[in-house]
Amino acid sequence: MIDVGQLSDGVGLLLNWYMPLVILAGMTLGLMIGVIPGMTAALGLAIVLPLTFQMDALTALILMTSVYTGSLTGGGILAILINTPGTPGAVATTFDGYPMAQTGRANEALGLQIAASAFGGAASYLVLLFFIQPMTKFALQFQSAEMLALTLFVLVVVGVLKGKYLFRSLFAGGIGLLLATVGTVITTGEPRGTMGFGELEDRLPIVLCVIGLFAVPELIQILPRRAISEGEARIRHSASELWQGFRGAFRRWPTLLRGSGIGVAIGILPAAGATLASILSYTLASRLAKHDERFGEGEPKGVVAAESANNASEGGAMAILLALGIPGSASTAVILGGFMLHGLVPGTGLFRDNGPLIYGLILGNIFQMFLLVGVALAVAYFVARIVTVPTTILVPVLTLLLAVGAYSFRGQLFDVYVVFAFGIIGWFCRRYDFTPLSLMIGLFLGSQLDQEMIRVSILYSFEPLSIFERPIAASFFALTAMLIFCRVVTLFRRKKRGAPEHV
Amino acid sequence: MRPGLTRAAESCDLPSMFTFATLKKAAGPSLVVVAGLLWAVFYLGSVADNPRHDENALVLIRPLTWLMVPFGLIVIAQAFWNARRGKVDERHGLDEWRRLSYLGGAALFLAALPWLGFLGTGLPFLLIMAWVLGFRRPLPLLSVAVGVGLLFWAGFNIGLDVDLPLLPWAIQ
Repeated sequence: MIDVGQLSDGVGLLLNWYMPLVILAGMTLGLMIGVIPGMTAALGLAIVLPLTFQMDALTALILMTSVYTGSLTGGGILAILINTPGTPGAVATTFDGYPMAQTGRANEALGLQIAASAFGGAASYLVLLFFIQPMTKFALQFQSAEMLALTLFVLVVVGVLKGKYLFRSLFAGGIGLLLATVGTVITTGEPRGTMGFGELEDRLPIVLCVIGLFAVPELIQILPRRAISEGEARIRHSASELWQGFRGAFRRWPTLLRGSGIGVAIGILPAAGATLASILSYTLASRLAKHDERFGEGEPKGVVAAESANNASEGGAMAILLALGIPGSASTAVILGGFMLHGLVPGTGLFRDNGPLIYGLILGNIFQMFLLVGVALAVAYFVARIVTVPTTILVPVLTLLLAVGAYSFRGQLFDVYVVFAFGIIGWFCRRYDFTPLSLMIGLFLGSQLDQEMIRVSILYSFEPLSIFERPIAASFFALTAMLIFCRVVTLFRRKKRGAPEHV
Repeated sequence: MRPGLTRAAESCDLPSMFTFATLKKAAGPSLVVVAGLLWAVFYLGSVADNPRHDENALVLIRPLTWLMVPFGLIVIAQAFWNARRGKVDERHGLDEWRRLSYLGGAALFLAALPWLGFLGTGLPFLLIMAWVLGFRRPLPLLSVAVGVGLLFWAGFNIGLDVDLPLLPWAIQ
């Protein structure tokens, strides 16, 4: 489990005067990047990577993880204030965070979000500290068959979430899956469905698609309003409400713990990450809702569930990076670059050869979460005023930021057009109840589902049924079938009772 | 005949299903489905007809596209059914002058971007759009424009080292 000698050496490495300053600088940069739509943690990490050349390994890695943590939390702030997830993992935060902001409870929502983020992050690193070896063993069990089964399971769990009409949600999800497969095929290296656009050969930039899908329709939607929060619901510039929200998250401790658990578990699976974790956590919380809890209309538990899982996925992703050297996302890939740059090779030998440094990194990240509370509350206090800015000036400014953020993603004007094209698609989806969330889930899972299906079809082409001999895959397939069965039974029962149910 | 069946039979009365009013109400979702299906079928066809692709390239998209067809048909049938029974949300769409102005302005901004750069298009877009939408305070408006210009130049180009094409001559 824990090597106490190496742990105390790790503490020693952390105890210097400049470490809190490094964390503060990284956290502030990360938060700034997180609150600009289109700017991603990967970009922030790419910016600081050259700055770490002259630093020692621990300081460099602490700086990079601070940027990462800050951007994850910053994405949630934007999600609450303007219904635009600054990072894809913050999508589920919009479901209840934005309705809270619209009804004048933005400060409370931000307090909830920051507390849940910090708790989720700290909990995930604590789990990492004690259980990194079993976590990696568990992750190694997930091969193509298991990933395919898990992807299908997640699709079924969240695919029809929040949809008014079941078949419109399914249709939107299907289109999302198809769109995500556009690009180069892994087996032949041949582009597919790119319509001659070379930029699409690397697949659609999913992060930008998601931001466009949510941000542009929201900008169009809020135009007739004076401000996002208006009339009696006007927000007050109140630190006490922020604090009240912050404490409120801990009063909802079962949701907080459950969200953190889901975040850690999903975070260790490569390519699954924060988005799936937060949406799964939110779905579970809404399914377990009591009668007086109205998820989707400003329920504080929704914010807690989504944000705790979002940040808790960070520890899981880090576990798999440290122990196996597998980056689960673009951001962790840049962090992996940081390890390499300082002569550290993630894998089984990392703990043996650099134990104190790794313990220092984990403890430093736990310490980050405490600093995160202070920095994020200060940023949220000032940024929260955005909901009172007149839409006549807010919308043009945000449009420009969206365009610049999209351009900075890969340095291509094409990406700016992708954002706005998906904005128009998102507007039509929203206008006619095609559930943009289902489209988004499809976009996220499509590429992975396609690749796993190709691998499985190659690996199991001779004995397709042998896929069910793998216990984890078989369990997920069984769970998926059970969920579909339960959904169909519920539909029929409601219809029999005469309750309104859209199909 | 049982009352439920009578209601169902009335609802399936095809001539009344395709009145102008019903068609108008069901047009939105139906057009979304038709557009989605046309693209999906075109996509599938382009992959299936390409000899350089093997069967693996179709392993997901072929069954998925065929699955989308019945889903789409159900959505269209349901849209007409709801329109016939008057169960359509009467929400405002783009028929609001501010939304239309914004879309027009955004389209012009995006069209001019490759030629004029981010500052060359962004600042006129900001000033004109805010004015058109009803922000009539020149000094704060100019301050915001200067702030945005500085953010692009100092914040992105210098601070974040993003090579933004700010002005026309920066476009390659």
